[in-house]
Amino acid sequence: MSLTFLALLSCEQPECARPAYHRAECRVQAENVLARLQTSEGVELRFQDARGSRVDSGSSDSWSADSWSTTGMLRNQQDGPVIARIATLGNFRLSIQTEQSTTLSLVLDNVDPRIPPLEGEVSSSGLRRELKLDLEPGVSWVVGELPDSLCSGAFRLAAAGDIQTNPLQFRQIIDSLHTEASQAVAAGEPLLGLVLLGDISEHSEPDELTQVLELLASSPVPVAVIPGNHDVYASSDAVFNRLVGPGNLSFDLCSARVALFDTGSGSLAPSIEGRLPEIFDGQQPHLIAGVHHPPMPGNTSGGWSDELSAATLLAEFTQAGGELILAGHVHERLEMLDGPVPQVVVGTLGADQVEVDPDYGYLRVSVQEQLSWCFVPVSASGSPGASRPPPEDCLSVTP
Amino acid sequence: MLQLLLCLSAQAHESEPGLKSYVLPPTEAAVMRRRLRWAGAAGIAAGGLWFFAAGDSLGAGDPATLLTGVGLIATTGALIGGSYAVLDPREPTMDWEASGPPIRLNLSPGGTTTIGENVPYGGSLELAPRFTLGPDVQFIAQGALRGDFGERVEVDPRPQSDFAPALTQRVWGADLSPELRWYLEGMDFRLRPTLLTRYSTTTFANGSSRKLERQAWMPLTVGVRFYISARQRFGLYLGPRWDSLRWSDGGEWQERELDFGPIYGQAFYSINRPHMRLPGGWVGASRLRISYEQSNFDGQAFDFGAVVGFFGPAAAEYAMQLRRPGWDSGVQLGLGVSGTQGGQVNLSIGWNTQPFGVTQ
Repeated sequence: MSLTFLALLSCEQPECARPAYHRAECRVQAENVLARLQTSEGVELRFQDARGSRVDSGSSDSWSADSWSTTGMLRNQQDGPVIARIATLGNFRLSIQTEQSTTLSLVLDNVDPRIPPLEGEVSSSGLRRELKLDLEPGVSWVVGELPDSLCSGAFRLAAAGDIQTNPLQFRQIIDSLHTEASQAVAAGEPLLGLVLLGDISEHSEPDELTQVLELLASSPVPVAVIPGNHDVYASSDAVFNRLVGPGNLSFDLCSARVALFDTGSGSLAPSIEGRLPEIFDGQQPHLIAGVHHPPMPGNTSGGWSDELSAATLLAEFTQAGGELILAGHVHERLEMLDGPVPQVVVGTLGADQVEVDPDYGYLRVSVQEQLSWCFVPVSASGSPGASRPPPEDCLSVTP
Repeated sequence: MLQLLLCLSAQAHESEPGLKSYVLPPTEAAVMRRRLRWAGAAGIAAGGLWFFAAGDSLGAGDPATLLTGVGLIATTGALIGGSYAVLDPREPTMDWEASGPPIRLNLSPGGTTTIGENVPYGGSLELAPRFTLGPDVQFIAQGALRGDFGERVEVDPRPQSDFAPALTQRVWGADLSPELRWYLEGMDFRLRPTLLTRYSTTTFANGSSRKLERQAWMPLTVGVRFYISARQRFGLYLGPRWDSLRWSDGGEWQERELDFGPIYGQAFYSINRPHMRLPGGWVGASRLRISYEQSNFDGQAFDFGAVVGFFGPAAAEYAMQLRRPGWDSGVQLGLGVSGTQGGQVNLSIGWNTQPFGVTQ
């Protein structure tokens, strides 16, 4: 906490002028820088909050493009299209500003396949869309919106964390999501996305993150990812933000507001903590939060480096009407119902559990009038768990 | 590890300075240090094994990181003690030494290099008068008031935000931890029911504010201290913890509910240095104390790499008590460093006296 001696020895500088990306606050800066991009042709792209900040009611042209939001990550490629990786589930919005007529090739990743074809779309495959946009001077918009039919009733989310050294088990879980998606449609509760609750790598190495991103490409639904303590301890490179995207993001998904936080450093970034009331503010009837470190110390003797930060999150979330906190970090499934709000821990995507029959799988969250959740096991190959009930049998989180 | 700790107690002899004289042959002190070293190594191994064998469970009673932290303090203490024994193998006993003073003021300097931000100085007033209730029993009426001397201000680092203040926060609170000590053969047992309370006022970026009250209830905390040699001690505390959290936006507070919290623990090793003659006729007695606390209640976790939030603060303090000849009390100055992220310096000044009720 105290940088007393540095303060005595050095001049004042802006926050993160000396980048230290193991600090949550510097990752906030990085993820915001990476949500905006200027191309060599002078085209400026900005991820925007899909709820929009309307200058005037009416057409989409009236959304404000003055600022930007951490709802995605933009990357320029040498001699290639601009890559825009959408970080949220469901709707998204990109503003594109240019002062001269030009053409822009744009690849959108992590797009829900059910979103209707976008303006300028030339091809689509899985979660990827390729666009060729003829731009006129001014602001143009790329807007993706789920069909109203998907949001007319109940829907499902899948959630879990902690892949670490076992991406092959995670691959099996991604495979099982295809079954989940089909069953969800049959049940009248479409699966709208997967929330990855951190620790998708073991050593914060780019190769590890790239491998997981490659696996995510075969997911049937878009994936929102937040980092865990294993993903963000590299100090000199904001590797998670650079390759995966923002770790702090909030968005509306049909009838739910979803707020996801980067707690990889054992606390919220102070500026995120300071914006909690805005982040939780919304018109949606449901409010769900996702973190890597469970904020209730009751069942986790480790996790948050600063218990005050966890307490602030709990207080603001509860005060805003929050209904469920999803967490990883602990490599098992736990349900904590004693605190101010229910909290479910599902660190079950493949990280070491020691047991002979590891309890791998994911949490199915059904968003209806009330939230409900259960655990879908996805056994390790060759484990005794292969004799477990098939995935359509969703188990109680409390084993 | 328990067996090794019991072996430690079997070898020590008499007890607390100010109450009784203390005699321990250097050869026995060496044996004690060796046992402390092995007990520490066993603690580290047991903690690591528990952590990995339990699959990262981190349940409320999970002692993995506590075992590791206690083991590290024991091992480090044994190494420090062994090194010191080479310089001063006799380790004669002293009739007074630096110890926990009955009254002490602490100051933790603040400051930051970040434009627009403020890290306030923090401070505390600690009271710990000792009362001797019998030849082998002492009561310490221990408590503290602590808080920030200003507001912590954090700016919004987003390039689209103009680096405006995003969070303003002030924290203050109180500790209540009366302690009863029984001096036994070569060790003492301690009962220290503890209640920590922290209040914080947070103003958010949108101007709204929130008051939080956090409490950690540890009514069953027990401790034990071993005499490693005439001037070296090793001790630990352990107990269950219950947490409560309530808040207010200026109106009513909620009902207080207690939830079972993480296990609480603390370990320390101390070594006292012999008296030094100082200029002006002063005599100084100093003490090096290293400690580990299994708690992130005050947000001072010792994080490194991917090991985040598992370990509480580790600290080292060098204290010196200064007396004039003939005085039975003295001024005690301290300089401490916590091995938290970024490090935390602590300066202290106290007044150290004999326990009340002591018969010299």
